[in-house]
Amino acid sequence: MNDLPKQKETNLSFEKIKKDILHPMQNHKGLELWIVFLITVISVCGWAYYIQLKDGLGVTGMRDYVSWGLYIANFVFFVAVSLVGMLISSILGLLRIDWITPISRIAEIIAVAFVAVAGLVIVLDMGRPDRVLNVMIHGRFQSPILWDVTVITTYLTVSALLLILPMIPDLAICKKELTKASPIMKKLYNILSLGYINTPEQHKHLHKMIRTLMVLIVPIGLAIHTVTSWLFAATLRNGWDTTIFGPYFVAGAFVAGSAALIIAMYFFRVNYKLQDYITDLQFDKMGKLLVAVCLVYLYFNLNEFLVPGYKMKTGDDIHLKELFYGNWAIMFWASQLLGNIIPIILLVNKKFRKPLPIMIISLFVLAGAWFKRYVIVIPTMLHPHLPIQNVPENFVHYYPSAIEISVTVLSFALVLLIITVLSKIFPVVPIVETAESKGIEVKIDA
Amino acid sequence: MKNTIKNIAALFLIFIFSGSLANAQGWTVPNSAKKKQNPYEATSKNVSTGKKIYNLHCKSCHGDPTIANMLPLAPVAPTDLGAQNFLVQSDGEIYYKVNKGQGAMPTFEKTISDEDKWMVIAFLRSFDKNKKVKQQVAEVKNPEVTDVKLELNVNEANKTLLAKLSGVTKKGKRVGLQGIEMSFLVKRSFGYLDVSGEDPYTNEKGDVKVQFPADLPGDREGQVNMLVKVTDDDFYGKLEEARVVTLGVPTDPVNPLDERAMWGTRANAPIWIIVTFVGGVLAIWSVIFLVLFQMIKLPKLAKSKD
Amino acid sequence: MKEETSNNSRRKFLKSFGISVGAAGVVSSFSLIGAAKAAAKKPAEMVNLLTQDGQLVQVDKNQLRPTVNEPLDELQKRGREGIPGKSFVMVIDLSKCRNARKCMSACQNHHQLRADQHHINVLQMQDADHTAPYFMPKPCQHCDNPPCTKVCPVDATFKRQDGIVLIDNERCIGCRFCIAACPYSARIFQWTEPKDAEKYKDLTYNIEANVPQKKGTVSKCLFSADRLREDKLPSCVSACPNGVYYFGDRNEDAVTNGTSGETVRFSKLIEDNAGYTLMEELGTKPRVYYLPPKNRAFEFNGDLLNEENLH
Repeated sequence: MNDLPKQKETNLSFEKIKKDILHPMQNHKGLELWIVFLITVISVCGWAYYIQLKDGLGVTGMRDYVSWGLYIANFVFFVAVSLVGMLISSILGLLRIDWITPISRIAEIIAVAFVAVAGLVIVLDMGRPDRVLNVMIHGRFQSPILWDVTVITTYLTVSALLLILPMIPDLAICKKELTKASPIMKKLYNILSLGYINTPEQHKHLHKMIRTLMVLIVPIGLAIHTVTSWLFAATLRNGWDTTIFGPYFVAGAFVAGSAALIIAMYFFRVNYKLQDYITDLQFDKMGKLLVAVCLVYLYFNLNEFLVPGYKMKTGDDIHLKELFYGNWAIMFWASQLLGNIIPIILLVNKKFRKPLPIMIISLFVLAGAWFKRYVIVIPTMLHPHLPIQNVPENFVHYYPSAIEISVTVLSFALVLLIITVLSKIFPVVPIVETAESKGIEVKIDA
Repeated sequence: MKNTIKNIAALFLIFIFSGSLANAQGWTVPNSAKKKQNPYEATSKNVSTGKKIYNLHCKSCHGDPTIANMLPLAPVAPTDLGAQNFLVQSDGEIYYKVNKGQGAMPTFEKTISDEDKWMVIAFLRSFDKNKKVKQQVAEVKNPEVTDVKLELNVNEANKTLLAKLSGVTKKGKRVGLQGIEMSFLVKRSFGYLDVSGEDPYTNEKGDVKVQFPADLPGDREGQVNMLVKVTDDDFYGKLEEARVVTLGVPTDPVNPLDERAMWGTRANAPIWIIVTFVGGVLAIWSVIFLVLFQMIKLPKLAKSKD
Repeated sequence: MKEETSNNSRRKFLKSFGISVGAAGVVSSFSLIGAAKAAAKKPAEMVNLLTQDGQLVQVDKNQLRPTVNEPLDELQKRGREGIPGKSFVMVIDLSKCRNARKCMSACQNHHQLRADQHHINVLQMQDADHTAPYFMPKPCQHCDNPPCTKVCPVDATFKRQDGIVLIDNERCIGCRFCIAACPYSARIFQWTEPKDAEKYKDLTYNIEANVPQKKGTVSKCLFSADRLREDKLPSCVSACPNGVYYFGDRNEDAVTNGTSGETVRFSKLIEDNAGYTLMEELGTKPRVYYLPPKNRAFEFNGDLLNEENLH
């Protein structure tokens, strides 16, 4: 795009880059307060989980018919958001698209945080979390859950490696520069930097490894979301019994992940004062990317709802009518319109790709994505093949209980805490890569 | 005092009124139906047929006639169908009620044939103290016998069973007992399958021959447990013969677990899915470990510069 | 010494009754242990028990102790293997059902379930707008292509050689994937502490009856697999007053009616009455067959419009 604002930070020096990026990590008062707040939230909501553990899942709103509720919807959402790591740093990275350099680390941090907590959410949803090891001991190859657990673990590992490996040069800088850091942190920087001093051999070797992982994470990333979709598509239920669930979920994941990244970019830019690095260019490009993935997702939605809606097969009919103009219509259309269609219309306009407007739009997209998962999971459980009879009134509806909501808040707080802590101990914008991309000479002392 | 009498009178009226209401909700049998007569005679054959049908369709709720061991259903318990106050009704009334049913009583209009219903009524009439006299018209009479024996001959080639019922008369002669119903029963998991056929009554020689079904499964060798007995114990006491016969179709039970299947246990997983999973995990994780291993080289590469 | 004899005689007394079904709560098999100990206690609560021959007896609650017939390992092993050579099937005659719900309560008694927990559920059905409504008892279909066992991550639910789909509550992790996978909504989950958990906490877990029920795990109909081992018909089948249920072994081509005790050819029953399986288009291959509600024994007295009647 040649009509973009010319980059003004040409007079940046390596020293200035180092200072700009490392300074907020140690000198941000609000950050510590934020961490304390998150820990408080986690403790309070942890108590809610303790009650669930003690009294059983009956403290949630779930019952025999809606036996998967808020937790599973939230799990799918977390897995979806985590896919941004694979999209930004791997797919775009392998294509050597250079504007992702300053935001690729944020993408990886989001990926690690969300996928780690996604794994935890599954445990929170279990009736017998004490038996979680049974999955390892008695794991059945035929069950999508074994695949899901395997793929999530693998994705978490590779994402963590893709966070740390490209950071090794920066960690070498941290080791030197962050003199005020605690001894533990210094030790961590020392170990993780692996004696990196940016020799050509090291540089070449390191980037070979990174590229290997970038290639590796593409099938894993696709697998994680495809297998998650199979948790639903492997059943015979109305609304889940469809063949396009794999790509449908992957497309939806790109939407949710991109929106989450834009929001995180905005907050780091403002709070860490990184306007010189996470520039309007990145927001503009991300806006275009979001439009692209939203269009793909819209196309899948069209197939997912129009085709069965055209046929109105027995079973599907009740389900779809409830979504289109029944009890679920508001949530369904809100997630489609506010979370997808309207953002597309707005974001094709350049004005809305400025940092603040696009951040606000992304909030809608992300919330829409969350409610979309809710609409995918719960209505289907309420519309089984056989009528729901001879059960108490609360089996026929589903409203998440306060405890259930608290435990969900806990998972969100945990994600934010992981992101915050990672961004406090690691530089959120790659120092060395940024300098290299601007042709500034990089010097790392041993 | 007056008030008390009034109250009692009122209560009495209410009682009568509610009683008549209850009656109105009870059975109303049209007069035309009441006039129907049982077209079948109360021969001992018909009565014993009726007893069989009764045991299948009526006993589970009404219990055994005259014993009053019916199911304690609420609000109305089933009637004892052998009780005299039930049997004062006409054949037609009983027939009508069996046909129509009410409340917990099913309608047997289509589930039991007319003939069978009349047989049941004939059976119930056998408990009727007023009408018993009319019975037993021109029936075969067996002489009084002792030492009744049941012999069973099995022809495995033709799949036939021949039972012979005989007894010793007062004169010391062994004679065949005629017109006695026999049951040919095959043991199954939860009961006996009746293979007696249409007419399992002994002929004048005391014989009854039964064709074993051609397609009834037996065990691996075709063996089945056979029980042959005199249907009604009332005649000569309990008389039966149990035997293992090789008349069934040899059947090899299929074990559904022999096949590898998607729904099977882990041990029975399809090979391709095991290979895919294990192969995929090994491939991906060996690359991860390779990368980790390669990272150890990084510090060494720093030194090579010096 | 004297204590011991009294103990023995009491045990004999109860055994002769063969207590199997409790009226005040279900008791699978109890014997008297420590009757002398109990005698020393305060006057205890009496419980009503229904013996097999239909007698109601009152027994001191303190004298009831669960009998551990088999160790857990043995129960688990034989429960997973199933009964060799059998292939159990059920036939449900819809023309006979009048929604008496004896099957439901017998089942809940047997499997220690609450009134709102159904291993078998009698549904009011109407297939299309202008077709006749009918009652349909719906147990687990024990499919031969079971969608539930496919998705279980830990082999906690599985099919045995006799065709029964069972759940091992000692292994189930409570992920509820099987509930999501079952198109017949046949599975329930123990969301809270199961009914009378305190009372049954010493009972050895029996995989063939899912008792005692375990919190945080899935439960469902299992054709009363514990009763089948004793050649008894499933609880629901025996409890029906209207002859709805037939149960038997497909390998023997015979099913027995739980009400009349009549044994008939399975193939003939299905052929004569146009028997079908539920949602066969899903390819689950159920082991429960239905006979259509033709020539009904009872008029349909349900109320499809009034949901209140259903609760």
